[in-house]
Amino acid sequence: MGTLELRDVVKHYAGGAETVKAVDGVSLTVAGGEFIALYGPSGSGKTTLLMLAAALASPDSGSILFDGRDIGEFSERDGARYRRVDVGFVFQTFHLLAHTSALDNATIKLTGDGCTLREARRRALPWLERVGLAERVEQTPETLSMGERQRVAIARALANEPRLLLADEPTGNLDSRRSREVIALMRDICHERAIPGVLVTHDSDATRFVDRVYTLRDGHLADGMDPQLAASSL
Amino acid sequence: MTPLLSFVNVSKRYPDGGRELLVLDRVSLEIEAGCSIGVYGARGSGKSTLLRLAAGIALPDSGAVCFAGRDTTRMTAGERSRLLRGAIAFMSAEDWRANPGESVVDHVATSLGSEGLTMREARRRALRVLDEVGVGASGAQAPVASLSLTSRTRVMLARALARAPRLLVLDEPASMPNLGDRDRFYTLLRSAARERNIALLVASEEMAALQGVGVLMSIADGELCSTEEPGTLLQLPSRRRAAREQSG
Amino acid sequence: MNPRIAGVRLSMLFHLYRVRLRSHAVQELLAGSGIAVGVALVLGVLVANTSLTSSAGDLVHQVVGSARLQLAARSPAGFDRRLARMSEHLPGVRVAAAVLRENVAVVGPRGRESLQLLGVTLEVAKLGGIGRRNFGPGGFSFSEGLILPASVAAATGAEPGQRVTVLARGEAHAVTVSAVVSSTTFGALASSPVAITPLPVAQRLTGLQGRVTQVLVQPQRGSQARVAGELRTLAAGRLDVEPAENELRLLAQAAKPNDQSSSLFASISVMVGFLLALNAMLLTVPERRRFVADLRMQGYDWRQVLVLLGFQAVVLGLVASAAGVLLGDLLSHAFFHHIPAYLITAFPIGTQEVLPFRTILLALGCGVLASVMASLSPIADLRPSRTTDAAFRDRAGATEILARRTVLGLSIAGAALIALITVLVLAEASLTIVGGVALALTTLCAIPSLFAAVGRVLRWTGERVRSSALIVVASELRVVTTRSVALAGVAALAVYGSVAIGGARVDLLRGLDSNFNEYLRTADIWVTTGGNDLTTNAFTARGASAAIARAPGIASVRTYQGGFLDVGPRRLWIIARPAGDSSLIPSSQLLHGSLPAATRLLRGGGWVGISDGFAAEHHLRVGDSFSLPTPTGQARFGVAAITTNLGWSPGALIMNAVDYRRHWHTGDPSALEVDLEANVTPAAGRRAVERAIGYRPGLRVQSFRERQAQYAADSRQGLHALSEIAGMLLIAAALAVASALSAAIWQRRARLAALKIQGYDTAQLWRAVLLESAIVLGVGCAIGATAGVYGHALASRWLRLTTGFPAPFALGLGEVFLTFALLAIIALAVLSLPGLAAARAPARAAFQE
Repeated sequence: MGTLELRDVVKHYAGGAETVKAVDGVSLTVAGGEFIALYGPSGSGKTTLLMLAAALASPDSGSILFDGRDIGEFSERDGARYRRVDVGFVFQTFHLLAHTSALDNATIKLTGDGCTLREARRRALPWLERVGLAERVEQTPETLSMGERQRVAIARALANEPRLLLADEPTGNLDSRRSREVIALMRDICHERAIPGVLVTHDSDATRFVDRVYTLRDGHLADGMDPQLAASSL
Repeated sequence: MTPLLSFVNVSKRYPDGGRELLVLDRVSLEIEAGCSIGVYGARGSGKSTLLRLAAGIALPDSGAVCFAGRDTTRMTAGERSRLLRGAIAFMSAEDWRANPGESVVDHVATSLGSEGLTMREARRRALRVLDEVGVGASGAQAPVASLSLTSRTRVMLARALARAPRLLVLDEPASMPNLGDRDRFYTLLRSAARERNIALLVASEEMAALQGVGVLMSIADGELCSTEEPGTLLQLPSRRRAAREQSG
Repeated sequence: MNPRIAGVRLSMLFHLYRVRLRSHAVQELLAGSGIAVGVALVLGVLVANTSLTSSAGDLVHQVVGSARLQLAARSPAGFDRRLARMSEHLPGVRVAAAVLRENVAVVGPRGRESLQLLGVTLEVAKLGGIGRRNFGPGGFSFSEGLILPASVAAATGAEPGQRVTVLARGEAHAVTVSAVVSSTTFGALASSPVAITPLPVAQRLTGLQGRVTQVLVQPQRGSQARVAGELRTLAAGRLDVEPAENELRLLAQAAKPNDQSSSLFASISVMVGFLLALNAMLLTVPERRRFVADLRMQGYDWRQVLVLLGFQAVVLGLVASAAGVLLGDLLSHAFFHHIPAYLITAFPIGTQEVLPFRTILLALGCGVLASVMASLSPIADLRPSRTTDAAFRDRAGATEILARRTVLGLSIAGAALIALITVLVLAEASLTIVGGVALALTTLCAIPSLFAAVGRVLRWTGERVRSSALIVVASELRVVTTRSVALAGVAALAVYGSVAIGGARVDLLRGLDSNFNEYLRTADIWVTTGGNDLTTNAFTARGASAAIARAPGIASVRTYQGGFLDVGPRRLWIIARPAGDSSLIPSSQLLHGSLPAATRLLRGGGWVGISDGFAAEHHLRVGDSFSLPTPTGQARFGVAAITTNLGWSPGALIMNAVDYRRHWHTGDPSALEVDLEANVTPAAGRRAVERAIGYRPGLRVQSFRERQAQYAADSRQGLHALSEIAGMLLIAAALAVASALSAAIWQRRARLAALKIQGYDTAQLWRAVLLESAIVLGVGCAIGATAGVYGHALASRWLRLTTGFPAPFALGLGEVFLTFALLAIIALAVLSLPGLAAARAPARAAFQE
């Protein structure tokens, strides 16, 4: 399947008096079926990289290619379509629609793409089952635990069968056991469907379940290492 | 001698979706005046809850939290507020809230308003404390919006120290990316506490933050375990929470 | 001076508020403008309410001075001045001042003004009032000329020393303006349509030599009752003996419908204004909760928090209300200075605005109350069950959700209220005003249930229709929140006010149009003294009748007579028709009695048609007889028919001109009715009549259509202010709702950005934002319009039953939709830009909390 490739990507932000070099010349490749972690303290540019990979921002220089397409060149509509169809995004504050059932929340990308709700529900249901929420599909977020909510968010991200999985601190609100479950789930999905996956985290514990760890500090990348080595080097 | 702060069989539950999570399970601890305790625990282990109970911001479901011999659970809301006004200071990097356009010294000074100080008096005290934490006169006049993460943490500390507390409760206070900055902050914290004989209760998920505390504890699954020698980490106890959830 | 309040220094409170203003200026401004608009509306309407009667009161007091009683003529022809002299010599009388009052017109270089001529003697100075200050030694010299108020001088372009023409009773006279008075010396007089001149001059101008229309009497201390009895003996049943300020009572009666409808409107404005303020304040709740939480974490206790919140609310309330008072003053200047023309013909009222202190305080109080109530919500966090830092933890932003039980309860309460209103209003029509206000409240009760229903419809539709925007909107509107109810409530109240008042106004205009149409249709050409009178000014014919009859193309000429007669508290409009008129009683205005029978009786003489209100007051039915005070004494008449008030709120009386001539002892016409031959055009006919009467600047010749247009314009002018206010209310509400919606959507930027991450593009999000806003507005408008239609029916019914106005109810759906559309268009137009900005929120917003 698709490959995510970053070539010498640079992204700066104007922040107050000085320019912040969020991403300063990062190059990496994630092949289909690989689940990598971007690890580093907050402020190191991980989130920015993810936003670039999701076509939510374009790099100042360098290029980002997914499946051979330069996503930095996308228009706003192209970007939206890319996110709707190709990307599955999981993030920390998940922003589920309140008072809406887990099933309907999971359908949000499908209905955005023109499905009727009925059809979208049919397609989203198996994913809710996959994340272990088969009995709770009708519950609204207020009645779900944090862990369950995060799993709804994952089902939502996967319901459209994306070809790229991006996750930004998805375990921020979860305890260690659930964190491990969630990360393992994402890794399994990447392996099963042979799609690239990028996990951004500052939790060293989480990095134990990925295939490779890249360490980011002040916008720079250290080489991809085995998770064990990465954890012990800090 | 009565400990400054003590927990006696404190339990706390939180609703989580349709169920309840037992965050603290019959926890007990004691802090003497001038001592420092570090609590190490992963995310979701209950350390923030522990700290908030210690400061009187939240109340336990069962058990007693005693400060200077008085049970905070039996105090009125007004009395607990007065604890926060002088005796206890709570600091959490997450709760940073500043008004854009406000200067650093004003930000510290307004927290003293509850004692009935005028702005002038409050500013004077604020400047003194800011100086002690290493924020000079020019830094004091800077707007709070322009503060880097490091400076922000110092200002928060100044705000806490300005009220001359006897107990300082800190929840993950230093989250700066730079390890050197973090070390410097903790050094500053410890010396300030020593000079003023303030008891410290610090919680963090990183060991580096807890270097130099008098007593080290760890928390997981709602249980607090202490270690005799500082610097030694006890093994985390087995997961009993899963069993509890499945049974009820 | 820096006291401690609950332990916090006053200077600290100010400092904290300054800080808040610096960081949240826009929100405070929004909240403040909501309060200001509401206060402005309330004040504007209250001022309009009081100006009318209080400026008239000032004028009357000025003229009357310390007189307690008056001897008043029953006809404009007045009575012999000797009676005035005799009353001077009555025992117990300290001062008796004779006055001649006539409705005239003054023509200057710039234009013509209708006004009341006051012919006074120096005796008036002894009464105080204008007299002492201005006509005594040191005041104006009382020359042969006219003293004009500044308002009249400005309108006519007259200056002291200039000659102007006075048109009185159909005759024209040139008079010099001896002085123009300003309000600093003359107060209310300076803005009233009056002109003052010495009595002999007035008598000459009006042709009423030796006569006066009023004697103002100041009795000696303790002799008032005795003097009144003596005056009555003197009057011998041909004159009225009344309190000196009787004019005010008559005016109050005539202006009552105006006052009452203004009260209804003021009440609605109060509610709208309050909701506007509440709404705006509600938006600031989340960040104010965090502000409070931060302070409490620093050791501020709940008492100190209360003091702080209250301090901020009071300061904001005072400042915003003060701005609202200023704005309201502007509003009243711009819109409310039109005195209904129909009132001016009978009462000389000026347009001076009076802003009583009490009104200002009331308006300020409303604004502060709204501010305080709306800012109390962070207090909910002070409950012991909540942790001190709860506001920091509730990151989703707590919108108050209305439980299903509450929604149900409210709709039941609303239905019960409507039933109660209906019963009350059917039983006692005068309670309609109260019913109108209560009906406004029912709109607020009904809104939550409509939202609930709409939510269900959205969900049902969303399942079957491919619309991404719909899914998002359906989830937002799935529950009923206080915020959306408040927003819809503002729209509902504004639409309710506009539809109810607009509808009633249209009904009234239609009724008046058909009324005056029939009234004027009896002649092809009308010859009158001109101006916007109700054909109540008599003039000397001087052979004009015969001259017109001889002119070519003229079929017939008839003499019409009319005037005002004070009976009790009512200044009745007397219509004395010649028997030759094709219709004596307008068929569209007939309420009781048979038209052919009544017309026959009137033609025969001795019978009259009276209006509903007068009949009810005197317990008269068709066929009864009653006694009417006339200038020649009491006269008995039979009731041939009962009609509406024919457009004059105290009521009208239709009689045969022969009866009028006999009892009023005058043949002077108030109008000449001219019928044209079949093939003569109105324009040709008018020219023929003008030629026939020759040069008479005091007379005006109008065709039926021209006069009808004039009456229609006068009716509209009088009712214009009310519909202007309704329009303004609508615009203000639309703007407020739009800005509140914008702010609410702005706060959801993070959630919108999150959707963007899931693949929604800007266009989809913008559509969702607009759809949601349209639904919220739509709910409010729908409820408001429905209630407004019912309110319209009630108001028209009230006009007919309580005030006797002709106001046939007709459902004006066009008006309703127009109101709807106007509100929606303004709101959505204002909303589209901020909505677009929110929809374009950068994805980063979803990551930062």
